[in-house]
Amino acid sequence: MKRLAEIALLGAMLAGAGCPGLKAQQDTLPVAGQADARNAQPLVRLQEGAEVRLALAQKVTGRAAVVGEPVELVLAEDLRAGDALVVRKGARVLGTIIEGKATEKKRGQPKHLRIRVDFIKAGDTRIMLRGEQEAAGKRNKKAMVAGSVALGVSGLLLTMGKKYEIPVGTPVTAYVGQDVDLAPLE
Amino acid sequence: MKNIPFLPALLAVACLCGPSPLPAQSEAAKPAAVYFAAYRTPRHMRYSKPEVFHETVSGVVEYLETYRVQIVQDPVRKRIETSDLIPVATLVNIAREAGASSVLLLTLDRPLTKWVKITLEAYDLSGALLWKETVDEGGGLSGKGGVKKALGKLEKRLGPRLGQPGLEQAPASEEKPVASGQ
Repeated sequence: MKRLAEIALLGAMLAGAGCPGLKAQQDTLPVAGQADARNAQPLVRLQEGAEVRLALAQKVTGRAAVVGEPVELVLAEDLRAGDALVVRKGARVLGTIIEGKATEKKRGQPKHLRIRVDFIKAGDTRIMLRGEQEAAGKRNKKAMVAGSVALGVSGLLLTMGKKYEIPVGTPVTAYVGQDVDLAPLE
Repeated sequence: MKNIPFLPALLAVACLCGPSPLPAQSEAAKPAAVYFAAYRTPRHMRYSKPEVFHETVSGVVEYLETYRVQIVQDPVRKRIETSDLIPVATLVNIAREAGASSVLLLTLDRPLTKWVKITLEAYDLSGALLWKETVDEGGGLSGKGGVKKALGKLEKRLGPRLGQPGLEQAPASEEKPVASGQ
């Protein structure tokens, strides 16, 4: 009986050598020094006030822009903290309309059109930014001339309103709003 | 060695081995999800109401959810419902970042001779158009009910596309037991 127990135990030990569960545990155990190296990767500090080059990723027009609505922008150049690359070009940036139509139902153009830049989305991190972009109102001169010829002063008054638009790709300069520590990508 | 008990030793080895580890869920097994965005044309802004736009969007989203098409929740903003055109390239980048596998773009227009025109386009993550469905409604003396009729037409057109790229469906959950007496 005791001999049988010894044989069974020996067999179990030999089977354990090829046991997948045991192998999995061995695989997940951190290699000495490896975990330490990952955790020890130094973070770099992106300082407040660092310049950030952005571009509008959508058109913004006065007839559609409602105060409080989000605006899509994109990082126009790689963002670096010193020599270290921290966010790649093309990263998503969010902004907000701060001057525009008061409500969606209002028709016509607002008196001003301005957007504020809020943050860069870098993975799960938000890099807060500060910066604004204003649209210059433009009058349609051809329409003003045609209106004046057709209707006189009334035509001029009807057509002299300004239109506000910020096209896709418009460059926007913003600045980092507060110091943030990031893991370098390179 | 002679005094080592057999059963406890066997149990110890069994615990040490444990069950075989399950293979990690592959990327292909995860249900595909769509990134949904809606756009309202300048004509619709001029000749219709924002309520019509939002009613249409809600109708389409409800249809998608009823048929288990997973819509990705954007982590940084609410659903895009805009009257300023966002380029497809931007939507594709947003969708990729949000973890979606395709983009669904709903466009609402108000043509001269119709009450409403609804276009639904599906794009993959390279920006290529997968498919496009357009419906409109212009019957009757007023626009009341036009949206509902147009949505009904759209649902009929989308039915055969369910399960295809752009309208991938999540697996059905287990059927609920039928209540007794029914």
